[in-house]
Amino acid sequence: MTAITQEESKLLNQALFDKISSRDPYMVKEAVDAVNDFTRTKMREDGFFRKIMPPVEIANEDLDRMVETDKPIKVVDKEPDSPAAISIPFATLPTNEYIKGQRYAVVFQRIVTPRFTKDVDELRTWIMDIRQVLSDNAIKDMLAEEDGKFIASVDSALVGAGTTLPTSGTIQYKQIGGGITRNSIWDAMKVMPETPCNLEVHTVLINHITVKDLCKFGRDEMGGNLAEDIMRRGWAEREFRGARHIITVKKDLIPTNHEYHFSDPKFIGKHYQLEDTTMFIERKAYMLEFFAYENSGASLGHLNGLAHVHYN
Amino acid sequence: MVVRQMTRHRLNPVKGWPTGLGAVDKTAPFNATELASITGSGQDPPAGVAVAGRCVHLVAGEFKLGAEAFEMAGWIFPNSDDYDVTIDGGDPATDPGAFVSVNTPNLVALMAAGSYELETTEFNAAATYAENEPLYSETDRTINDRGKLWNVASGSAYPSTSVVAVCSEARTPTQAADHHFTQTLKFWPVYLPATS
Repeated sequence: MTAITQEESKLLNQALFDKISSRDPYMVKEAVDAVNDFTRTKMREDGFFRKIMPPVEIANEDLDRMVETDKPIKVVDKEPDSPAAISIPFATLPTNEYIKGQRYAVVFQRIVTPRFTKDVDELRTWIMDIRQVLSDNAIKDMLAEEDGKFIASVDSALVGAGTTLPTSGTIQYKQIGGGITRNSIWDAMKVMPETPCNLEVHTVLINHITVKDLCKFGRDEMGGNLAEDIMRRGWAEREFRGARHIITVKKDLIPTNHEYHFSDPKFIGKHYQLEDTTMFIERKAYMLEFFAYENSGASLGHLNGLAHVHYN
Repeated sequence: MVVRQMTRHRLNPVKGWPTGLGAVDKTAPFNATELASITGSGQDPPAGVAVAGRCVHLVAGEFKLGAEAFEMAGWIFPNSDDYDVTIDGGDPATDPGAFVSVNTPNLVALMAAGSYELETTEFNAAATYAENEPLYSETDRTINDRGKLWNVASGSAYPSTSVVAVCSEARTPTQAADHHFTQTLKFWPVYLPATS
């Protein structure tokens, strides 16, 4: 999102304030739409869950119905594995395989922020972008919940360090000794391809402290002018080790010296959005009330597309 | 596989909820250890499920069944296995092909701090209830009955045991079922801790 000057911010605020203060419902809706656009853009830019598993909009007709509930659910087919082909001599026939397949379900939850209250007359004195005043706390809260429950689910799927998972028959959460070195970071990249699905790492998620150790690689280790570029400009989001690296400041979710690996989103699962982030704004006399909400659901359907490495 | 109709266990807010955006409900996860200890008795309740309409209290940020002493009672609105709470895709540690839902298993309960009349399917249907009768939900009931409402305490009556609600409509064990073919009890939640 492009930064705006203080002067632009003042003009925007005046326009937005006029609309919010208006008794004309059309004007108020315009103000709400402006805040919603701002909020949705920020949500897309700032959350790592949405980058790793981009949400797909889903409509009512795409939902599945269940006898026992009226809660929304979407049933997704897993791509079936087929038994291996074999060479046979003449005069015999193939063995039988009756086709069955696995499915998984995506269920939906609403994420909602606290309801914030503000006297509209106090907004008159704000120089910073009012859209930001309204949406900043909301975005921070919603992204913390979105990203937090995503990582909690990944941790749950990978069980614990050194555990062999029954789905893959391999360890997908590995501890790698010797710290962050050229060798160890490539050993880390082996964890996911070692599963029977042979998936490659598409996205690496690390925190902004861990990435500093990657920045230490010299020209002889990093190769080419990349070491110089990183030394001069710092780490920018880039492809490295053949994977996109997402750097987060959320150290409480992604601890230092830990890396989470994700395959291409289509091999992880599904992330559906039933209702995009929406800011509810209501003005009662001079009091402004607002809160943001969204309705989405996701499932990790293919656990072989996940890996976690701890450099120790 | 037995289908459990969504009307089988429920909490119906007869009066007072939701009123605008200021309802006194509380959102929290259910205590996983207690949930796992629910052995089940057919559908009443199913094993491992805290059903809608059961009385709960908060401990360390989690709901547990029943309420006594100074515990503020609440009544859970969804079942603990409803799809907006969670879905069990199997245990990734033991089940090949398990899937994991990305969600936070929170339930919502209407707490006795609010002002409403409620109706629940979760009570001792063998008893006769009179209006204004105090109702109990002690935590020493057997796990499958815990969280139901009773018009007698399992030990001594109030003031030795906390009252969690007051019956708001008389009913008998032979009363006809409602339009969902279930038996229900109407009550006003109260906060009346034991004093002795």
